[in-house]
Amino acid sequence: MFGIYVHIPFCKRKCLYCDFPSFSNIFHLENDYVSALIYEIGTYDRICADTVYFGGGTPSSLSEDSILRVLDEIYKKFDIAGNAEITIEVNPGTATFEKLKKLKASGFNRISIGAQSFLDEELKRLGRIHNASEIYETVNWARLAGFGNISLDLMFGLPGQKADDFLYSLCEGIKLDVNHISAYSLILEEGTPFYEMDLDLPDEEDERRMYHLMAQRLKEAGFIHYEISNFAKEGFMSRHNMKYWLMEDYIGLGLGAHSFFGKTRYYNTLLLPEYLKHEGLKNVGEKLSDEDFKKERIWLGLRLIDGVSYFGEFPEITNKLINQGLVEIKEGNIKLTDKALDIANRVFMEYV
Amino acid sequence: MSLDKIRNFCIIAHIDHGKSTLADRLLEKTGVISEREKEDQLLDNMDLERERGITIKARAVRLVYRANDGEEYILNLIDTPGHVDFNYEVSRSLAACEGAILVVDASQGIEAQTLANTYLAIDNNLEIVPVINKIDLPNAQPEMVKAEIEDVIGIPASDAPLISAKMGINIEEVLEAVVKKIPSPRGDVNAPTKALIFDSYYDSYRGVIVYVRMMDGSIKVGDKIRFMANQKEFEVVEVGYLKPLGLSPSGELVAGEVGYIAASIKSVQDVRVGDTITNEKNPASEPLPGYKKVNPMVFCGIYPADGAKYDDLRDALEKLRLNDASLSFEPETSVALGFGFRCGFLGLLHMEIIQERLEREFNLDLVTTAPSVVYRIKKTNGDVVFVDNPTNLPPATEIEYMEEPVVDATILTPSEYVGAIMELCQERRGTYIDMKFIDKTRAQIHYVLPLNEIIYDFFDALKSRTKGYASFDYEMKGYEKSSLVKLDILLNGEVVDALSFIVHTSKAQSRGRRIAEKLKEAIPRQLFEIPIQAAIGNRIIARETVKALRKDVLAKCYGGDITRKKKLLEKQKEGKKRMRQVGTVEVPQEAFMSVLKLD
Repeated sequence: MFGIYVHIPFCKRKCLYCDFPSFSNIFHLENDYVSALIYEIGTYDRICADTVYFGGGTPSSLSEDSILRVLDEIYKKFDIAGNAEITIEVNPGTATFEKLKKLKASGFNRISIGAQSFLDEELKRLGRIHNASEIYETVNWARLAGFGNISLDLMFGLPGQKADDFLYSLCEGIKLDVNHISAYSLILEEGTPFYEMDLDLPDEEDERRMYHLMAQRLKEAGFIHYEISNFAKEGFMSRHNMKYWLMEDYIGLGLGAHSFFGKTRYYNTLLLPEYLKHEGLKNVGEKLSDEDFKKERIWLGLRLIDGVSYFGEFPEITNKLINQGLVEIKEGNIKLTDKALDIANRVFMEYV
Repeated sequence: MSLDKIRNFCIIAHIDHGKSTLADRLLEKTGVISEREKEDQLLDNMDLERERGITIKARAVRLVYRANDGEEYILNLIDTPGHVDFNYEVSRSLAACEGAILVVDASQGIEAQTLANTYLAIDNNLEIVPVINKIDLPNAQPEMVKAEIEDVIGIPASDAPLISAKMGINIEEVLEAVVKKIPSPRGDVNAPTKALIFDSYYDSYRGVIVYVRMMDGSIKVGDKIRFMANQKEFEVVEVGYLKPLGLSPSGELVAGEVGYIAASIKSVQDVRVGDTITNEKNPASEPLPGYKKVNPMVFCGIYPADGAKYDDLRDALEKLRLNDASLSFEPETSVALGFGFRCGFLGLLHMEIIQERLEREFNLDLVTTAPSVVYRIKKTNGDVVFVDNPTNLPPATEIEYMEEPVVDATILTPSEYVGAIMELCQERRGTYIDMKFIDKTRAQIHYVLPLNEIIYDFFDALKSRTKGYASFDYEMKGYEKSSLVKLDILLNGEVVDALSFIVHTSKAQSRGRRIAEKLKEAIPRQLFEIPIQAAIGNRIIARETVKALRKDVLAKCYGGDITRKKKLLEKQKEGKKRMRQVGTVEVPQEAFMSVLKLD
C-alpha cells in the first residue's frame, strides 16, 4: 500500500527557521497550483494507498475549495483504502470552525496542528502568525468538527528558552488531551533568517534536559514514545510517517515533493514556474542497490524507538555498536539504546 | 671562443629586491627572448618559486652580449638559491663564478640575507658589482644605499648602476659593468679535467643533466668521466650550453665555460653538488676544494592522511628525490599515524617546500609531525647516539647528557625594533654575542640560538614583532650541552607517539600546557570524556578535558529529507574517516598540525 503526500507551498508568512519549499506571496497562483497538482496526479498509474497527507507550507492557508479539488482528484484517480488515514496540517492562524468542518466532511480524519509553543513571546520570536489562544481555539474546533485524531507540533531548544518555558508549553499540550505530539528540537538550516541571526540558544546540556524531561512527562501522561521526535497515545501513531521510516512506498505530489517506490527515489522540481508548467516532475534521485536498501532500512528504522526487524545484516557494524552500548537486539528488532537517543547520528552514519 | 670573452657571474639579492626581474631584463636585452614568451621570471621554473618569489634550485643561462667596445661576450648567468637552507648550494654556485651582481633595493637597503650571501661571495673571491634597483620608487634613496654598501660591506659603490629592473631602466649599464669589472675565467684547457658540479636535474629521456663549470681541461661526447667523490664513472652522451629556451648541444665543453653534461646517469644521488668531474684518461689528482656531503638538519614524520596512500607517498618522495639529492627519507611506523616516512631536510623552508609539493603536485593529503632537529646524546655507557625522532630517545636513566645544535644568527633591523628582537631571542634561549649599528637607523644583532627554537615559528614571530622589517639569517655553529627533556602527550591515558617532542626543561611546562589547550580545541567531542595530558616521564605537567558528546541527532527525517539527511550523514562519516584512531580516541589530522603552531 502506498502513502500519498501532497505538498502545499503556500504560507501567510514564512517562519524564520523554515527551509521547506514554501512562499508567502503567491496566493494569486493558487488555482494554477491546484491545476498542476491535478495534472501531476494524472501522470500516475492507479495505485492503492492507505494514507494521504497534506503538508506544507500551510495547507490550511488554501481555500477549502482548492483543498477539496485535490483530494477529490486523489480519490478519483487512486484506490484509497476505506480505513485510510487522511491528514492535513493546519496552522492555528488560518483555521476557522467552518473550514475544519468542511475538511472533516470531505474526508480528512486526522489533523496536525502546528502549535510550536504556548508562549506568545516565543511564537513571535519564531515568526509564527498565530498566538497561544488560537491554538486552544483550533483544537476545540477540530474536536467539535469531529476530528478524533489530533496531533500537535511543538518545538524546543528555542532562542532564549528555559527548560521551564518548554515544560509549560508541553503541559498545555498534554492538557488539551490530543492523541499525538511531535516535538522537534530547533535546527538552524542554512539559508534561513535564523541561520544568519545571532541567537541566544540553550546549550546542548539544557537542550537535552528538555528532551528527556519531555519524554518523561509524555510517558507519564500516557503517550508512547515511538520515534525520536514523536509521541502517540495507543493506536495513534502517524501511519503516514511510519512509511518513511519503514521504507514503504509513497508518492509525493507537488513542488519539490519526493517519492519512493521500486527502491528508487524521485523528486519534483523546486522551481515553482517549472512546476506550474508541468515540468520537472519525477526526476530520478537515486536508485538504491540491494545493499543501500538494506542499510537505509536499518538506519531509518532505528529512528523508531522499538527499532526495526533485524536479520543479522552488517554484523561487523552492528557488533561494534552493540559493544559501544549504542544499539541492542530485542525481540528480533535492532534498536537504539537509551543513551544512543541523544547521539543517534553516530549510529546512523555507520549504516550509510 | 677565447676565455677573455667569457664572464661567469651570479646575482645576489634579498627576496623581493628584484633578482629575477633583473635576470629577465638581462635576457631580454641580450635578445634571447623576443618581447617575451611572456611568462614572468623565466629562471624561476617551479610554480612554487614564482609564488614565493624565491629561487629553490640553481639554474644557469648563457647569454651573448655585444658590448660597447664592439666585442661579443658570452655571459653565463648562474642563478643561486637565495635561502639559508640552501647555503651550501649557494656557495657552490658562487664557486662557479668570477663575479656577482649585488642587487640592493633602493628603498630598503641591505638585508641580512644579502649580507650573508655577499660575504659568501667575497669568501669565494668573487668580484662584487653593486647595482641599486627600484630607483623608480618614490621612496628610493640610492645615495644612502650606496653609502650603506660602502660602509657595511666595504666595497666601492659610487659608480653602481642605478636601475629599475621593472621599468627596464639602465639595464645596459649592468651588462657593461659585468663585462668591464668581472674578470674573465682562467683555466688550462690542456690540464687534467676538473669540472665543478653546481646543479643537476633529472630528465626522463637523458637521465641526469649535470650543470658544470669547467675549471680545467675539457669534456666531449664519448669521454669517460669520473665523479671524484664517489668514483663513479660514466660515458658522456651529450654536452652543451644552457640556452635560455633549452639545452643546446655543443659536442665539447672547455675550461672557463659553463654548460651541461648528460651521461645516462640514472640517479641524482650520484651527482652531488660541489663534486668534481674529471676525465678517466687523464684524471686530476685533487678534486676542487669545498665539496661536502650535506646532512639534513631538520626531520619530521610525513604520513599519508589515508593509510592506503602509503605507496603513493613513497612514489612521490622518490620522484622528488630524483631532483633533490638533499632530501632524505626512510620508512617509519607510528602507533598513532601508521606507516609513513621519516624525512630529513636542509631546513624549515626546504621542509615546507617538500610538503607543499607533495600535496600540490602529487595530490596527497598529509599528516606531518612536529619538526625535530638532530640531538646528540651521550649515554651512560659511553656511546654517543644521534636522535632525530623523539620516540627514539633512550630512557632518561641511560642518558648522561644531551647536546643540541645551535646556530649563529644574524638579524638586521630598523633600530626601533632592537628591544623587541632581543626579547624574542632571549625567550628563545639565545646567547647575545654583539650588536652593531650599520647606520643611524639600522642595527645588526648577532645571537647564538638553539636550532630547535627557530624551527617552529621563529620567522613568524620575528616578522610580527618587527612589522616585517627585520631580516634573519643563520648558519650552523655546532652542538652545545643542554638541559632537554622529552615531552609526551597522552590521550585517554595513552601516549601518542606522533605528538612527543624534545624540549628545553625551562619550556616544557608552558609548551605542554599550550599543546593540551590546542588539542582540546582540535579534538571533537566523542562518546566519552577524553583527558589530554602532557607528561615528562611519569609526571603530568598539564591537563585538559574534552567533554563527552551530548547531542548528535537529527530531530526530523521525513520523506523529502531522506536523501539530504543521508548526505549529511555521509559527510559526517567522511570527516570521521579522516580522523586517526589513536587507541580509543579519534583524532583529526588538524590536531597533529595544530601543535606545530603554538602562537
